[in-house]
Amino acid sequence: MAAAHRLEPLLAWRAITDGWAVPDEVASAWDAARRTAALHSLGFQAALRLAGGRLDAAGIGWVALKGVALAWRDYPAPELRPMRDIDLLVARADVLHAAGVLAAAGFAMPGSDAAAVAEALRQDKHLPPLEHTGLGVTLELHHALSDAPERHGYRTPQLDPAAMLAGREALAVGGASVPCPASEDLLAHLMVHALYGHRLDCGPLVLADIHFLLAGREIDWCRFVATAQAQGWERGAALLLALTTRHFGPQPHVLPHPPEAILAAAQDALLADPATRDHAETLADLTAARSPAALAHAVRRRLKPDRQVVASESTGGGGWGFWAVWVARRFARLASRLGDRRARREARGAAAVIRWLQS
Amino acid sequence: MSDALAAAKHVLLGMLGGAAPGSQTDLANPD
Repeated sequence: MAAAHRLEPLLAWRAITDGWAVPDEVASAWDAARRTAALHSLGFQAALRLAGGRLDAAGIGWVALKGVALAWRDYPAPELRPMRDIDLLVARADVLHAAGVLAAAGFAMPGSDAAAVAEALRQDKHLPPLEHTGLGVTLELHHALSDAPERHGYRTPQLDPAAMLAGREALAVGGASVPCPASEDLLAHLMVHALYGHRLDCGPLVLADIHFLLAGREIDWCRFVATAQAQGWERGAALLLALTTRHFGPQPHVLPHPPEAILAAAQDALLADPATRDHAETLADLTAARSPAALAHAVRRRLKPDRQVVASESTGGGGWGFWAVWVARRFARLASRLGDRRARREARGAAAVIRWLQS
Repeated sequence: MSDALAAAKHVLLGMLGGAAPGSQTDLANPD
Protein backbone atom coordinates (compact mmCIF):
# COMPACT_ATOMS: atom_id res chain seq x y z
CA MET A 1 0.00 0.00 0.00
CA ALA A 2 2.84 2.41 0.87
CA ALA A 3 4.59 1.79 -2.45
CA ALA A 4 1.40 1.99 -4.53
CA HIS A 5 0.66 5.43 -3.10
CA ARG A 6 4.24 6.83 -3.28
CA LEU A 7 4.60 7.00 0.51
CA GLU A 8 7.90 5.19 1.01
CA PRO A 9 10.29 8.18 0.71
CA LEU A 10 8.36 10.11 3.38
CA LEU A 11 8.24 7.03 5.62
CA ALA A 12 12.02 6.61 5.17
CA TRP A 13 12.53 10.22 6.30
CA ARG A 14 10.20 9.77 9.29
CA ALA A 15 12.03 6.60 10.32
CA ILE A 16 15.43 8.32 10.30
CA THR A 17 14.27 11.64 11.77
CA ASP A 18 12.26 10.06 14.59
CA GLY A 19 14.50 7.02 15.16
CA TRP A 20 11.83 4.40 14.47
CA ALA A 21 12.70 0.75 15.01
CA VAL A 22 11.89 -0.68 11.59
CA PRO A 23 12.80 -4.19 10.30
CA ASP A 24 15.91 -4.04 8.10
CA GLU A 25 14.19 -5.26 4.95
CA VAL A 26 11.46 -2.63 5.30
CA ALA A 27 13.98 0.15 5.99
CA SER A 28 16.02 -0.94 2.95
CA ALA A 29 12.96 -0.84 0.69
CA TRP A 30 12.00 2.62 1.95
CA ASP A 31 15.57 3.92 1.50
CA ALA A 32 15.76 2.50 -2.03
CA ALA A 33 12.48 4.21 -2.92
CA ARG A 34 13.81 7.48 -1.49
CA ARG A 35 17.03 7.24 -3.55
CA THR A 36 15.02 6.48 -6.70
CA ALA A 37 12.74 9.44 -6.02
CA ALA A 38 15.80 11.67 -5.54
CA LEU A 39 17.15 10.64 -8.95
CA HIS A 40 13.76 11.27 -10.57
CA SER A 41 13.56 14.70 -8.96
CA LEU A 42 16.79 15.64 -10.77
CA GLY A 43 15.15 14.71 -14.08
CA PHE A 44 12.07 16.76 -13.20
CA GLN A 45 14.28 19.71 -12.27
CA ALA A 46 16.08 19.54 -15.64
CA ALA A 47 12.76 19.26 -17.48
CA LEU A 48 11.37 22.26 -15.60
CA ARG A 49 14.40 24.38 -16.53
CA LEU A 50 14.16 23.34 -20.17
CA ALA A 51 10.38 23.67 -20.58
CA GLY A 52 10.13 26.83 -18.48
CA GLY A 53 12.99 28.51 -20.34
CA ARG A 54 11.37 27.81 -23.70
CA LEU A 55 7.92 29.00 -22.57
CA ASP A 56 9.45 32.16 -21.09
CA ALA A 57 11.37 32.82 -24.32
CA ALA A 58 8.13 32.42 -26.30
CA GLY A 59 6.36 34.92 -24.03
CA ILE A 60 3.86 32.33 -22.76
CA GLY A 61 2.68 32.77 -19.16
CA TRP A 62 2.74 29.51 -17.19
CA VAL A 63 2.48 28.06 -13.70
CA ALA A 64 3.91 24.79 -12.33
CA LEU A 65 1.03 22.99 -10.60
CA LYS A 66 0.82 20.80 -7.48
CA GLY A 67 4.02 18.90 -6.72
CA VAL A 68 6.63 21.40 -7.88
CA ALA A 69 6.13 24.06 -5.18
CA LEU A 70 5.45 21.36 -2.60
CA ALA A 71 8.57 19.33 -3.42
CA TRP A 72 11.08 22.17 -3.76
CA ARG A 73 9.68 24.57 -1.17
CA ASP A 74 7.33 22.98 1.37
CA TYR A 75 8.56 19.42 2.02
CA PRO A 76 11.81 18.93 3.97
CA ALA A 77 13.43 17.53 0.77
CA PRO A 78 12.22 17.29 -2.86
CA GLU A 79 12.36 13.49 -3.05
CA LEU A 80 9.92 13.15 -0.14
CA ARG A 81 7.18 14.34 -2.49
CA PRO A 82 7.51 11.99 -5.50
CA MET A 83 5.89 13.09 -8.75
CA ARG A 84 4.67 10.98 -11.65
CA ASP A 85 4.92 13.87 -14.08
CA ILE A 86 5.18 17.64 -14.30
CA ASP A 87 1.92 19.57 -14.62
CA LEU A 88 2.12 23.02 -16.20
CA LEU A 89 -0.82 25.40 -16.61
CA VAL A 90 -1.06 27.89 -19.46
CA ALA A 91 -4.00 29.96 -20.68
CA ARG A 92 -6.34 28.01 -22.93
CA ALA A 93 -5.58 30.45 -25.75
CA ASP A 94 -1.86 29.62 -25.45
CA VAL A 95 -1.98 25.87 -25.04
CA LEU A 96 -1.45 24.82 -28.67
CA HIS A 97 1.33 27.39 -29.10
CA ALA A 98 2.91 26.09 -25.89
CA ALA A 99 2.70 22.48 -27.13
CA GLY A 100 4.50 23.54 -30.32
CA VAL A 101 7.21 25.35 -28.36
CA LEU A 102 7.73 22.31 -26.12
CA ALA A 103 7.74 19.95 -29.11
CA ALA A 104 10.69 21.93 -30.49
CA ALA A 105 12.44 21.34 -27.13
CA GLY A 106 12.02 17.57 -27.41
CA PHE A 107 8.69 17.05 -25.61
CA ALA A 108 6.85 14.76 -28.04
CA MET A 109 3.23 13.62 -27.94
CA PRO A 110 3.52 9.93 -28.89
CA GLY A 111 0.45 8.25 -30.35
CA SER A 112 -1.66 11.40 -30.47
CA ASP A 113 -2.87 13.11 -33.62
CA ALA A 114 -4.68 16.40 -34.25
CA ALA A 115 -8.04 14.76 -33.52
CA ALA A 116 -6.83 13.53 -30.10
CA VAL A 117 -5.57 17.03 -29.29
CA ALA A 118 -8.91 18.56 -30.33
CA GLU A 119 -10.78 16.04 -28.18
CA ALA A 120 -8.52 16.80 -25.21
CA LEU A 121 -9.20 20.50 -25.65
CA ARG A 122 -12.94 19.83 -25.61
CA GLN A 123 -13.18 17.22 -22.87
CA ASP A 124 -10.01 17.13 -20.75
CA LYS A 125 -8.21 19.64 -18.61
CA HIS A 126 -4.87 18.94 -20.31
CA LEU A 127 -3.51 17.91 -23.70
CA PRO A 128 -2.32 14.31 -24.23
CA PRO A 129 0.90 13.76 -22.21
CA LEU A 130 4.19 15.08 -23.62
CA GLU A 131 7.24 12.89 -23.17
CA HIS A 132 10.91 13.85 -23.18
CA THR A 133 12.71 10.57 -23.77
CA GLY A 134 16.17 12.02 -23.07
CA LEU A 135 15.19 13.18 -19.60
CA GLY A 136 12.70 10.37 -18.98
CA VAL A 137 10.06 12.88 -17.93
CA THR A 138 6.36 13.15 -18.78
CA LEU A 139 4.79 16.60 -18.84
CA GLU A 140 1.11 17.48 -18.90
CA LEU A 141 0.14 20.81 -20.38
CA HIS A 142 -3.06 21.98 -18.66
CA HIS A 143 -5.52 24.52 -20.00
CA ALA A 144 -7.98 24.02 -17.12
CA LEU A 145 -7.78 23.16 -13.42
CA SER A 146 -10.98 21.17 -12.99
CA ASP A 147 -12.58 18.37 -14.95
CA ALA A 148 -15.21 19.67 -17.39
CA PRO A 149 -18.60 20.19 -15.66
CA GLU A 150 -20.23 17.40 -17.68
CA ARG A 151 -17.42 14.85 -17.20
CA HIS A 152 -18.79 13.31 -14.01
CA GLY A 153 -22.34 12.56 -12.95
CA TYR A 154 -21.68 14.71 -9.88
CA ARG A 155 -21.03 18.46 -9.86
CA THR A 156 -17.37 19.44 -10.21
CA PRO A 157 -16.29 22.86 -8.85
CA GLN A 158 -14.65 24.98 -11.53
CA LEU A 159 -11.41 26.61 -10.39
CA ASP A 160 -10.29 29.68 -12.33
CA PRO A 161 -7.08 29.18 -14.35
CA ALA A 162 -6.81 32.89 -15.20
CA ALA A 163 -6.86 33.81 -11.50
CA MET A 164 -4.13 31.28 -10.74
CA LEU A 165 -1.96 32.57 -13.59
CA ALA A 166 -2.49 36.18 -12.46
CA GLY A 167 -1.56 35.38 -8.86
CA ARG A 168 1.57 33.33 -9.58
CA GLU A 169 4.68 33.64 -7.42
CA ALA A 170 8.28 32.92 -8.43
CA LEU A 171 10.10 30.01 -6.79
CA ALA A 172 13.82 29.30 -7.26
CA VAL A 173 14.32 25.67 -8.35
CA GLY A 174 17.89 24.66 -9.11
CA GLY A 175 18.84 28.20 -10.12
CA ALA A 176 15.78 28.70 -12.35
CA SER A 177 12.81 30.91 -11.55
CA VAL A 178 9.66 28.77 -11.62
CA PRO A 179 6.23 30.44 -11.41
CA CYS A 180 4.02 28.62 -8.88
CA PRO A 181 0.46 29.23 -7.65
CA ALA A 182 -0.25 31.53 -4.70
CA SER A 183 -0.61 29.39 -1.57
CA GLU A 184 -4.40 29.75 -1.40
CA ASP A 185 -4.70 28.71 -5.06
CA LEU A 186 -2.36 25.76 -4.54
CA LEU A 187 -4.34 24.58 -1.50
CA ALA A 188 -7.63 24.93 -3.38
CA HIS A 189 -6.29 23.02 -6.36
CA LEU A 190 -4.92 20.19 -4.21
CA MET A 191 -8.28 19.81 -2.47
CA VAL A 192 -10.56 20.02 -5.50
CA HIS A 193 -8.28 17.75 -7.54
CA ALA A 194 -8.20 15.06 -4.85
CA LEU A 195 -11.89 15.24 -3.96
CA TYR A 196 -13.65 15.78 -7.26
CA GLY A 197 -11.05 14.65 -9.80
CA HIS A 198 -10.04 11.49 -7.93
CA ARG A 199 -12.68 10.85 -5.22
CA LEU A 200 -9.62 10.71 -2.88
CA ASP A 201 -8.14 7.60 -4.56
CA CYS A 202 -5.02 9.60 -5.49
CA GLY A 203 -3.81 8.59 -2.04
CA PRO A 204 -2.92 10.10 1.34
CA LEU A 205 -0.03 12.14 -0.04
CA VAL A 206 -2.62 14.90 -0.34
CA LEU A 207 -2.77 15.07 3.48
CA ALA A 208 1.01 15.39 3.68
CA ASP A 209 0.83 18.05 0.94
CA ILE A 210 -1.69 20.05 2.98
CA HIS A 211 0.31 19.60 6.19
CA PHE A 212 3.66 20.73 4.77
CA LEU A 213 2.05 23.58 2.79
CA LEU A 214 0.26 24.92 5.88
CA ALA A 215 3.36 24.45 8.06
CA GLY A 216 5.45 26.73 5.88
CA ARG A 217 3.07 29.22 4.29
CA GLU A 218 0.67 31.88 5.51
CA ILE A 219 -2.83 31.34 4.15
CA ASP A 220 -5.39 34.12 3.79
CA TRP A 221 -8.15 32.00 5.34
CA CYS A 222 -10.87 34.61 4.71
CA ARG A 223 -10.11 34.57 1.00
CA PHE A 224 -9.73 30.79 0.95
CA VAL A 225 -13.03 30.06 2.71
CA ALA A 226 -14.91 32.67 0.68
CA THR A 227 -13.67 31.07 -2.56
CA ALA A 228 -14.57 27.57 -1.32
CA GLN A 229 -18.07 28.73 -0.38
CA ALA A 230 -18.60 30.58 -3.63
CA GLN A 231 -17.50 27.56 -5.66
CA GLY A 232 -19.35 25.04 -3.48
CA TRP A 233 -16.50 22.93 -2.06
CA GLU A 234 -16.30 24.17 1.54
CA ARG A 235 -17.40 20.74 2.82
CA GLY A 236 -14.50 19.19 0.93
CA ALA A 237 -12.08 21.67 2.49
CA ALA A 238 -13.44 20.82 5.95
CA LEU A 239 -13.10 17.10 5.26
CA LEU A 240 -9.47 17.29 4.13
CA LEU A 241 -8.50 19.65 6.95
CA ALA A 242 -10.11 17.31 9.50
CA LEU A 243 -8.26 14.28 8.07
CA THR A 244 -4.96 16.20 8.03
CA THR A 245 -5.52 17.24 11.65
CA ARG A 246 -6.33 13.65 12.65
CA HIS A 247 -3.11 12.22 11.24
CA PHE A 248 -0.63 15.13 11.21
CA GLY A 249 -1.72 17.08 14.29
CA PRO A 250 -3.37 20.49 14.72
CA GLN A 251 -3.53 22.68 11.61
CA PRO A 252 -3.66 26.50 11.62
CA HIS A 253 -7.35 26.67 10.72
CA VAL A 254 -10.42 24.69 11.69
CA LEU A 255 -13.65 24.29 9.71
CA PRO A 256 -16.89 22.56 10.83
CA HIS A 257 -16.18 18.91 11.66
CA PRO A 258 -17.62 16.42 9.12
CA PRO A 259 -19.69 13.42 10.33
CA GLU A 260 -17.56 10.55 11.65
CA ALA A 261 -18.98 8.12 9.06
CA ILE A 262 -17.84 10.41 6.25
CA LEU A 263 -14.37 10.78 7.79
CA ALA A 264 -14.09 6.99 8.03
CA ALA A 265 -15.25 6.48 4.43
CA ALA A 266 -12.85 9.17 3.20
CA GLN A 267 -9.97 7.60 5.12
CA ASP A 268 -10.79 4.25 3.52
CA ALA A 269 -10.97 5.84 0.05
CA LEU A 270 -7.57 7.53 0.50
CA LEU A 271 -5.89 4.13 0.58
CA ALA A 272 -8.08 2.42 -1.99
CA ASP A 273 -6.62 -0.28 -4.19
CA PRO A 274 -5.36 1.63 -7.28
CA ALA A 275 -6.67 -1.22 -9.47
CA THR A 276 -10.26 -0.39 -8.49
CA ARG A 277 -10.22 3.31 -9.42
CA ASP A 278 -12.32 2.85 -12.53
CA HIS A 279 -14.97 0.96 -10.57
CA ALA A 280 -15.05 3.60 -7.83
CA GLU A 281 -15.39 6.39 -10.39
CA THR A 282 -18.23 4.57 -12.13
CA LEU A 283 -20.12 4.02 -8.90
CA ALA A 284 -19.61 7.64 -7.77
CA ASP A 285 -20.70 8.99 -11.16
CA LEU A 286 -23.82 6.85 -11.31
CA THR A 287 -24.97 7.10 -7.69
CA ALA A 288 -24.27 10.80 -7.23
CA ALA A 289 -25.67 11.92 -10.60
CA ARG A 290 -27.46 15.20 -10.03
CA SER A 291 -30.00 14.81 -12.84
CA PRO A 292 -31.29 12.21 -15.34
CA ALA A 293 -29.25 14.01 -18.03
CA ALA A 294 -26.07 13.75 -15.92
CA LEU A 295 -26.79 10.06 -15.33
CA ALA A 296 -27.30 9.49 -19.06
CA HIS A 297 -24.03 11.31 -19.81
CA ALA A 298 -22.16 9.21 -17.24
CA VAL A 299 -23.50 6.01 -18.83
CA ARG A 300 -22.70 7.23 -22.37
CA ARG A 301 -19.14 8.14 -21.39
CA ARG A 302 -18.58 4.56 -20.26
CA LEU A 303 -19.78 3.19 -23.56
CA LYS A 304 -17.26 5.13 -25.65
CA PRO A 305 -13.49 4.45 -25.69
CA ASP A 306 -11.31 7.54 -26.01
CA ARG A 307 -9.24 8.13 -29.12
CA GLN A 308 -5.98 7.01 -27.56
CA VAL A 309 -7.51 3.64 -26.63
CA VAL A 310 -8.85 3.20 -30.16
CA ALA A 311 -5.48 4.21 -31.63
CA SER A 312 -3.49 1.84 -29.44
CA GLU A 313 -5.81 -1.19 -29.40
CA SER A 314 -7.60 -1.16 -32.75
CA THR A 315 -6.05 -2.10 -36.07
CA GLY A 316 -9.04 -1.05 -38.13
CA GLY A 317 -9.70 2.47 -36.84
CA GLY A 318 -12.37 1.42 -34.31
CA GLY A 319 -15.47 0.00 -36.04
CA TRP A 320 -18.54 -1.64 -34.49
CA GLY A 321 -16.67 -4.90 -33.92
CA PHE A 322 -13.92 -3.16 -31.95
CA TRP A 323 -16.52 -1.21 -29.94
CA ALA A 324 -18.49 -4.34 -29.02
CA VAL A 325 -15.34 -6.14 -27.84
CA TRP A 326 -14.18 -3.06 -25.91
CA VAL A 327 -17.52 -2.63 -24.13
CA ALA A 328 -17.69 -6.35 -23.31
CA ARG A 329 -14.17 -6.25 -21.84
CA ARG A 330 -14.95 -3.13 -19.85
CA PHE A 331 -18.05 -4.64 -18.28
CA ALA A 332 -16.25 -7.93 -17.63
CA ARG A 333 -13.60 -5.99 -15.67
CA LEU A 334 -16.30 -4.14 -13.77
CA ALA A 335 -18.14 -7.38 -12.99
CA SER A 336 -14.95 -8.99 -11.67
CA ARG A 337 -14.47 -6.00 -9.34
CA LEU A 338 -18.02 -6.36 -8.04
CA GLY A 339 -16.99 -9.76 -6.70
CA ASP A 340 -14.19 -8.19 -4.62
CA ARG A 341 -15.38 -7.21 -1.14
CA ARG A 342 -12.64 -4.62 -0.63
CA ALA A 343 -13.32 -3.01 -4.02
CA ARG A 344 -17.06 -2.85 -3.31
CA ARG A 345 -16.53 -1.24 0.10
CA GLU A 346 -14.02 1.32 -1.14
CA ALA A 347 -16.19 2.25 -4.12
CA ARG A 348 -19.29 2.57 -1.91
CA GLY A 349 -17.32 4.74 0.53
CA ALA A 350 -16.02 7.04 -2.19
CA ALA A 351 -19.53 7.39 -3.60
CA ALA A 352 -20.88 8.19 -0.12
CA VAL A 353 -18.25 10.92 0.29
CA ILE A 354 -19.16 12.43 -3.10
CA ARG A 355 -22.88 12.38 -2.23
CA TRP A 356 -22.14 14.12 1.10
CA LEU A 357 -20.04 16.75 -0.67
CA GLN A 358 -22.97 17.43 -3.01
CA SER A 359 -25.72 17.55 -0.39
CA MET B 1 -14.08 0.44 9.49
CA SER B 2 -13.57 -2.49 11.75
CA ASP B 3 -11.53 -5.07 9.87
CA ALA B 4 -7.79 -5.62 9.73
CA LEU B 5 -7.38 -3.75 6.46
CA ALA B 6 -9.09 -0.65 7.86
CA ALA B 7 -6.86 -0.83 10.94
CA ALA B 8 -3.76 -1.16 8.76
CA LYS B 9 -4.83 1.87 6.76
CA HIS B 10 -5.26 3.88 9.95
CA VAL B 11 -1.80 2.87 11.20
CA LEU B 12 -0.20 3.74 7.85
CA LEU B 13 -1.84 7.17 7.80
CA GLY B 14 -0.65 7.75 11.36
CA MET B 15 2.92 6.77 10.43
CA LEU B 16 2.79 9.17 7.51
CA GLY B 17 1.90 11.88 10.02
CA GLY B 18 4.78 10.90 12.31
CA ALA B 19 3.30 8.34 14.72
CA ALA B 20 5.88 5.63 15.41
CA PRO B 21 4.93 2.10 14.30
CA GLY B 22 3.19 0.34 17.17
CA SER B 23 2.35 3.55 19.01
CA GLN B 24 -1.26 3.66 17.80
CA THR B 25 -3.04 1.34 20.19
CA ASP B 26 -6.57 2.76 20.23
CA LEU B 27 -7.70 2.10 16.67
CA ALA B 28 -11.39 2.13 17.51
CA ASN B 29 -11.12 5.69 18.77
CA PRO B 30 -8.49 7.33 16.61
CA ASP B 31 -9.05 10.80 18.04
